[in-house]
Amino acid sequence: MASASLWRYAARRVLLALPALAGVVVVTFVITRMLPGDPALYYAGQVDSFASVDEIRHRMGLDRPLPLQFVAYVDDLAHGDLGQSLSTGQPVGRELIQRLPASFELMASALSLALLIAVPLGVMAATRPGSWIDHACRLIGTAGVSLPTFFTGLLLIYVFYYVAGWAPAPVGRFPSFMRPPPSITGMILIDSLLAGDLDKFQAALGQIALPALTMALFALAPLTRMTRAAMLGVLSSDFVRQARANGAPRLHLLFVTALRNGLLPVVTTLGMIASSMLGANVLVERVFAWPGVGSYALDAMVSLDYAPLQGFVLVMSVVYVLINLGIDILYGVIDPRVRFEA
Amino acid sequence: MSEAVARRSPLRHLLQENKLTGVAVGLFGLLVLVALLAPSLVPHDPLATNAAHSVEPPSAQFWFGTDEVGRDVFSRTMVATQLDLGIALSAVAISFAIGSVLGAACGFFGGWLDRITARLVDTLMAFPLFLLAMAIISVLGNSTANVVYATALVNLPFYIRMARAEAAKLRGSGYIEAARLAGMGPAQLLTAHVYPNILPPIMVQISLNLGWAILNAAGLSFIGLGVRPPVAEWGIMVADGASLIVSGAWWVSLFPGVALMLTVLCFNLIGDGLRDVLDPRRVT
Amino acid sequence: MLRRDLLRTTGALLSADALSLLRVTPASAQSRAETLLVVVEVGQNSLDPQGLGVNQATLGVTWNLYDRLIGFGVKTLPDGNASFDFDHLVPELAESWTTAADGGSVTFRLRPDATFHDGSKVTAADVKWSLDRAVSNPAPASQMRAGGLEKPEQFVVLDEHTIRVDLPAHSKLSLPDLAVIQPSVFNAKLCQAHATTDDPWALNWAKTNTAGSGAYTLESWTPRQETVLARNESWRGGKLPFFKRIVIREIPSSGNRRALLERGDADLSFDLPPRDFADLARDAKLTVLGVPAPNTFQYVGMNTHTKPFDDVRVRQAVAWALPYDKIFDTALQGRGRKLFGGPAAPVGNEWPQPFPYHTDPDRAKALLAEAGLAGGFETTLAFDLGTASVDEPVCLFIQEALAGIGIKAAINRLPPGQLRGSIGSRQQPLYLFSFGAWFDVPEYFFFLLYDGKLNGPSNGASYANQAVDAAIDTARNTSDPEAYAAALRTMFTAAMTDVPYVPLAQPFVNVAMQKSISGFVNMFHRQLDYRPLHRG
Repeated sequence: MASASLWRYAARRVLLALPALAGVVVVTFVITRMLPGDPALYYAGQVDSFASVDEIRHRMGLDRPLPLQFVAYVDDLAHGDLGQSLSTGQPVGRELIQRLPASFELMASALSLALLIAVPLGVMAATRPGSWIDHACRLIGTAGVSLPTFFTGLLLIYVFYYVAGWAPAPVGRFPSFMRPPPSITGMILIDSLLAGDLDKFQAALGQIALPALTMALFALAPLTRMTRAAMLGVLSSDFVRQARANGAPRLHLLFVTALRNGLLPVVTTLGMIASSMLGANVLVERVFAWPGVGSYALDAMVSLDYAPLQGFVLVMSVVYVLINLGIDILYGVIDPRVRFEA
Repeated sequence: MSEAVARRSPLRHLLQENKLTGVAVGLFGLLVLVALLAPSLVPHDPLATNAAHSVEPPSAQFWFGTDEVGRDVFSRTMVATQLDLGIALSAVAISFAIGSVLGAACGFFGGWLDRITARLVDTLMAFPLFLLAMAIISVLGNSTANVVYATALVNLPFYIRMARAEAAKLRGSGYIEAARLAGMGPAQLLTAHVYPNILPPIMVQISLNLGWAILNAAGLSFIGLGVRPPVAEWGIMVADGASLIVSGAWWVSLFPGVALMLTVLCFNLIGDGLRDVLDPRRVT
Repeated sequence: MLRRDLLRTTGALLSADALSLLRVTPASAQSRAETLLVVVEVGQNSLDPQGLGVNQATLGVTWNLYDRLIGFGVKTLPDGNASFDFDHLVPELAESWTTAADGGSVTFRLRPDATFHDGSKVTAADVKWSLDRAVSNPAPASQMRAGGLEKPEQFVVLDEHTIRVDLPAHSKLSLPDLAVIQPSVFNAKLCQAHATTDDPWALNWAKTNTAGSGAYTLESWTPRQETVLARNESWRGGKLPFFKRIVIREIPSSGNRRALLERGDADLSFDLPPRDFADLARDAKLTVLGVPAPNTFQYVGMNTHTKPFDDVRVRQAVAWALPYDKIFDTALQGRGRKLFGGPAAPVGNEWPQPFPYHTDPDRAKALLAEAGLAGGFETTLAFDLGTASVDEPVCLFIQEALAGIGIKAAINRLPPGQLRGSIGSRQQPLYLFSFGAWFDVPEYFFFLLYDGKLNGPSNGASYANQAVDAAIDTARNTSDPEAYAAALRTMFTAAMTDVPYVPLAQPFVNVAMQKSISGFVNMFHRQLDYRPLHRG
């Protein structure tokens, strides 16, 4: 693994992504301005005259010609200023920094849960191809991805909170009566462990259980399928047959030899799912009152709040580029045969 | 014995080997039947309000119960099949038609067409797709047609990329060379040889895409964008019932939600089955 | 119901919240009793009551963080509920005031012992700075104008504890205007320390910081999640409130808010759909109060400048066609006061009052025929997505009823930003909306909604009637009770006959709270005043 070519590869990929990011900035600006409605009138509330509305529009800087507004926006961006949210009154950058860990924590928990279920399912299905177990695993996975996330979330809340009372109230990341642990990583599960507070860890775990389950169901199908396919491919490969002929114990064969080599496509799938989960879990966040970036963007769009929308899209695009780059690099690290062409 | 197997048609072979897919195909047939016949066969007018029977549980008169304004949930769920299937089929058809042709051309010819398209696709894919769909509908206005266009646009990159990858593989193949030497023009090559050969893997994608398109449309309706009331659509119906679930009125959300799930499951299972047959890289 | 029994037993034992409650010591149980847990849909987006683009929740929270010179007293309504008394002003930061003989000014004497949260004294200079700020920024200035308070020159500091407010317009609304949220008293020294040349009023700093003297201080604010208020132990504006802590949680889903209330995980909510309030009232496990929102009605508006609604007969036809009872009983669940089926002519000075219309499709069809539209026509009916849980059923009923007389109305569900804007730009031919005015006087309501000269943003019907304009003017300025009553009669009659706005109901301000809590006083801003609330 030549690290020089790795860096050159990474640099080239980032450079290639820049035109796309620039396109994103322009398109987002245009689209937000095309959203019908007058933010000045909306935020003015009930005022007595249009003169007031005009003055408010002037104060908001929304009466400047669009090109000027765009130049001001790009200028702010160059200084690292993502603007202010009209509806929350907070700087967009600060809000995104607070909300990204929330979305990330949810996504990571969902993926972990999904892997915990999908990998054994996929392995089971791969070892008995064509059997009813194989079909059952497939059905479970496919059923998961067929459920609308907003519906699953509502159902889970109804069953586990209203009826059974096992899950805590879906009020967000943390229960109403407790103070969250001091924020270090921004992820409450980790922060509570770092603070050594098991009560808070348990509380946070309770809050994240249902939304993570809702999202995990969605990730089950591709992960199960990919694990199964990868395992099948590897199990029938030469080196595994060789190991089996050499008398390696079955479990060791399965989980050490075969799985490690079947990891590649699973990693790719994981990456794809992660990047789509991060920005697109708008509906889950809405249903569970989860303060993540998805609900942030949704609220911004509905309230004609330009700055958070623009900030959100820009940050998410950068995150996608980085995740895709990360996957490709991880790919190369796992499989020494992959060469990075600079 | 092997002769008998060889003589059986591929479809029957597929269905018998994979009973799950068989069930899914049957379900799809049932859905199409419901979509076509429901409007004329349902017991109540799906749009008629009935204030006297607001939020009533399932009964002999209202099989799936009633919603907030007294409309029959059963009738609405059945009638919505047509709309949801229609939205999904239209959106995917548009994406497929434009995407596969464009992608095939890019993959086969390369050059500036390929480069520009690749940049545009990259930009498109850099957006969180659901939000992009939301933005498009917000800008264009709430209507079923706009839901179709937004879903189609957001789906386009997948078809372009897939068609491109498949077409690129065929560029150097033998029979293409032969046809070119025989005097076939590039357009003819594309339509007669390249395009038909890239279709099989794309077919798999179409089926899976149909499921995604329905979920996308339903998700948009859940937020309040797209389909307008009083139209019956599964996503809107789940949204209407969401706030009623707490008061115990589970039926308003449950039935459309289950219908949604069954339809998407059906498309996904068919897609899986197709993948087993048509994808040459299948491993079993 | 099985679900509720399960809730009480299993749920109470197993949920994380309850677990933490089980571990509480008697001392903590005391503190739980003195904490009020409120669940709302949307919280404040600023801490500055005079800020730009602040939402309703901001006005509610800052109401408790800041004081004003004077406040409204409390009256008991016929139904037993407590409400603010528009006609009776009480001291707050001002311990007394005297009106000049000619009515051209009012002199306020401040309490000498009142302090801001940081300990510094409240002086007349602070009051002047705050009032100057209110009239110098467009958002609060709009409200200040309603009472004739427009220029900083009107506020004169006489000494450290005395300030005079000059009222050149002699408006009747001037004194009440000093009791609303906009003229909150800021700690001028503290704000000025954070002002800049670009921002002389410290607008930026005040968005996220408080500079008040109110009964509560801000303990913490996590935007879009939670706000915690703590009682100001040195408050001098009145009797010290009961609750030591107020925890306000933002829960976007109304179903979740209701569930939290029912399970006792929340103490109070005023933010639920009417159906939930009706159900909770029926179940009788919680105290549910409903007070008609003063000077407010929900209405169907028609643009008098758009065909065919420019013809008064068409508007009246719509008014006769609406399914009032269905809307009131099923969509509003009876949580309001009916504004239909009243006498043919207006009665007295009360507003809003029932209009003479009721559901009479034949009369509607006859009117349409008279207007030459016997075959009906097509139009759109717009409503606010933000209030869809109530408004969508209303619109569905309306759509059906209109179809019955030949009017095909396509329903247009608009995000909140769009509807208000398109009403302002007069783009909606037919729409469902609500309007309310803070000052409980009809002439002010009419001024904002019906006045053609002003033609304000709320007048989506573009209604203009010179006789009405003149009557509004008279009503706002006269002190002769007979001229006043006559003017009102003109206004009310025109509203009922010309009917650019068809009222459906006067909605309730609803509150649901645990039975142990009482002291709710309905405020003009429809948000919560935490000061009079207590438990037990």
